[in-house]
Amino acid sequence: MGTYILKRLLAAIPTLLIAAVLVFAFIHLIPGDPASVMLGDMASSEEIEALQKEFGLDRPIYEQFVLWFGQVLQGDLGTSIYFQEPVLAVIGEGAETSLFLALFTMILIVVIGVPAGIVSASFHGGKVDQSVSGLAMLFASIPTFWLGLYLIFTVSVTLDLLPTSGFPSVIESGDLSNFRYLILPAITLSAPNSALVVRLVRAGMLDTMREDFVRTARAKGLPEWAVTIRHIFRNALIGVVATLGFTFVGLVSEAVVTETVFALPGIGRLVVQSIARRDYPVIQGIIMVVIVFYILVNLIVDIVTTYLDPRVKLQ
Amino acid sequence: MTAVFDFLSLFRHRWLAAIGLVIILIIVVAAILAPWITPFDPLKIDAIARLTPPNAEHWFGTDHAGRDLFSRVIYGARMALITGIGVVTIALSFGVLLGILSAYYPPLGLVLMRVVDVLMGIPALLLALAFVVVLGKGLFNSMIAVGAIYVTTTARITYGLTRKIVAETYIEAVTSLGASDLRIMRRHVLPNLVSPLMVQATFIFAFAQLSTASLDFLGLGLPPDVPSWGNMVAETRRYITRAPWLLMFPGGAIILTVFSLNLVGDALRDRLDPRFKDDLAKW
Amino acid sequence: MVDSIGQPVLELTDLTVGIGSERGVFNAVEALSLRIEEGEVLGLVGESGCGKSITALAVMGLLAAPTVRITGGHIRFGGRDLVELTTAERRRLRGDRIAMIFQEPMTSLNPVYTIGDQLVEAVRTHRSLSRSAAWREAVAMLDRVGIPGAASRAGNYPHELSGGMRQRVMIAMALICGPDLLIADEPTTALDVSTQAQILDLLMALRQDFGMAILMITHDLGVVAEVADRVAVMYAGRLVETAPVRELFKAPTHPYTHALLGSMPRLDAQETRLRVIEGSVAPPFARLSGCTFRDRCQRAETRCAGAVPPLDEVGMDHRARCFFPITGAEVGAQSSGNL
Repeated sequence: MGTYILKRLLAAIPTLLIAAVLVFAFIHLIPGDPASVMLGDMASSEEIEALQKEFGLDRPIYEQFVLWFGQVLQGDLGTSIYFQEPVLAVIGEGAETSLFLALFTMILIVVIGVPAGIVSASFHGGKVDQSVSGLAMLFASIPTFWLGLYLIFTVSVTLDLLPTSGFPSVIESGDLSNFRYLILPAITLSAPNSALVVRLVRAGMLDTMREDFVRTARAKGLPEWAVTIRHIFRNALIGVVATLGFTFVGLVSEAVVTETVFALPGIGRLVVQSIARRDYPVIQGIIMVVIVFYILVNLIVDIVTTYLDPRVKLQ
Repeated sequence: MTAVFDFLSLFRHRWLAAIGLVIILIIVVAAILAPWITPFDPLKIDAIARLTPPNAEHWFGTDHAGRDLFSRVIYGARMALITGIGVVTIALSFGVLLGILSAYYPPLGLVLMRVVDVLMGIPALLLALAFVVVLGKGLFNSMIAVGAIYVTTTARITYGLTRKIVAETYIEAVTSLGASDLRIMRRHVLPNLVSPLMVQATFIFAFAQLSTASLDFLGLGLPPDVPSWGNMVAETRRYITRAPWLLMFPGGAIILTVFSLNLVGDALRDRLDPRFKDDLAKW
Repeated sequence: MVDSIGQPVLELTDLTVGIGSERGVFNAVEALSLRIEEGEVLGLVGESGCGKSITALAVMGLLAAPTVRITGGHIRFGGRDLVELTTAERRRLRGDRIAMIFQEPMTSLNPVYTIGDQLVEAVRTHRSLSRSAAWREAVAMLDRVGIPGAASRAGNYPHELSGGMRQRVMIAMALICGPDLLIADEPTTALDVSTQAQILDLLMALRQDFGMAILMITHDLGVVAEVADRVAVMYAGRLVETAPVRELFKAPTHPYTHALLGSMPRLDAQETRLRVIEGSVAPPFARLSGCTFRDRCQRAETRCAGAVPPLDEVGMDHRARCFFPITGAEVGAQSSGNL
């Protein structure tokens, strides 16, 4: 297992390289030279020159890239202009919120979406199937910003059940009840993202239902629920795991809008704020972090798949 | 003419999708005829009539500046149509070009597809935001930003399909008869791409609405005074408790449009080939 | 074994199975009457599409309802009419008193569970055993079906076994509760010739040990000749001939059976071309009135179109559904093959 992980991480380097090139190009595509862009309109020419020297912007571009990439590999993603702190630290502060939000959202998606897909497939073609699929499609059509506002309006303001904004840290305070701040955001984020899971579980179940071993299971005299869960679902799951993984990655930053609506101090909101503040190192850093996260999740998904499917071996 | 009948026939057993199609048509017609069917000027400010609930005069009520919401929502349909068309055009043209080139010139294709893979690893909205950072805000830029999201998936699908088509033996025959690459592309590959791309276009149109509305909402898309649905929800945030209709009508318009497009796209996809479900299942 | 005085293990009376479609109901099985005595091996023979597999599924209660369902007749087993039982009661019998093995061993086992676990599941569905006791049963069964190193093999996954081994596992799974009747639907068709022989030998040996009856469904007359005690021939959903195995091969009475046997390739035959039965089976909804075989039968006359021939006695325990069955005298003049 250890060698496998190592091999995979090494294989991920080209991906990382391509990502780095893209991100690096990104900062240089912004009109104006990076230094004055970063320092803003108010900067004096001396400050600009100093920053240029510091970033090595007077060197040829490939040298700059190598320098920067080297730093990235060591975990140095630069310094935030706004916070005057290492980018990684700034991102780290938002990580707690975003990760918890993503986690709760995933739990909701799995708990609601997976059974919905199973039920839909089990009664496929009938009214239940159509209703579930239709509902899933409806949810996928709802913009997160609208749902968030709507929930705030109905639940918090009118019924005054849950808080509407912010998220005091759980890790720092150790106060688990703070998680209630994430309930509405999680619901908001899960609704549109669950449709895909419902659809995939349903499709996976329908494909698996046709397999011969399902007939064998019935021939053994198993009750229908056992056939559905232990045989059909258990096999259909293999194909769904990958999507679940990538949904999770996506959630961390698809939450941009949700975090804005609920004023959550997460990475998503950080992106929007950084755009407004022209804090490009942070934006760059977030994109790199997301890509690395994506690579890691990819790896985990593959490992989990080998546990789920004995036919697949680690290579 | 037969193409039209063919198209309509796929709604025979799918009443829900048929309703979706009707709704889309209504929205498109309303969008096109906006200047003639709106009772009020969507930009006209009327301080006296601020925040009035829906009534006989203002069917959807008025917003915080006294502007008629119904007229604004109709104009919003216009913006939705324009941005939708823009995004689909960008996504399809670049995506198909990228896909076909990658399929035809494998070394180039390998590199390009790797890049596409990485880009697909970046969540959609984040990618769009990155483009906004580089390009700036505004209608054209947000069309490019959102279009970029779907260029990747379109390129992937086109790449896969093109490779499949080219691998079929009859292409070998045609090539050996001396047909040029371009000719093959034109006569064999493109016609086979039309159907899947039509489905793709429908879904892109649908989800582009959500993406562009989100950009607008964040203040990173269209200028704030342009009556787009996203903008409408954004600027009325503060007044939602006092005037819930400000949230319901534009929001409802988005949901209705996207849902209808999804229904139609689903029906199209069922008709085409259930196999493609896997490619398009990204949605 | 053949002359059983007691009740038959399975008795089908006028069984009709209909398949629903937009054009109406099509009877895949038409008024089928069969019986299998205790410990007997009945070979059910016919071309693909003749309804033999559906008959098996009907007996097991595995029809794809509501599109495919029993529309008439009775299935008597263990003193009850299966048609009248509830789904739950049927399920209790399935895998316990009646078991079935299928044609494709490569795909008939669940790939994510070990074969031991799948056997355990089979036995614990019908018997209250602890997991460890069930596991012991499973290993014992694997041993009985001839899997070497059963104790360690039980921890293998299906993809780690060959086709022949997987079929043995299927047999083990079917027999682990000691059923009275085993239905084998083309169990050797997907296997190579030498494995075929092994599996057939295994089935016969197990039949001896368990004292169970076997409904052997196949299109391969060679298999029938090897293992069957009696044979039933089906054509287009109907039973057309039934006889003890030797009798059938010696004196096939129904023109279809005759043609089937005649079309078997033989090493000692004089002809160089394979003989075929002219024509093909009618598609659903296009079945002929009267005797459905008449358009391919050289003995057909106007009478054959008028009514469905009844299943008449043509010999000892030998029945054929034909107005003009081939008599013994004609069989004698058989060497040239033409009727």
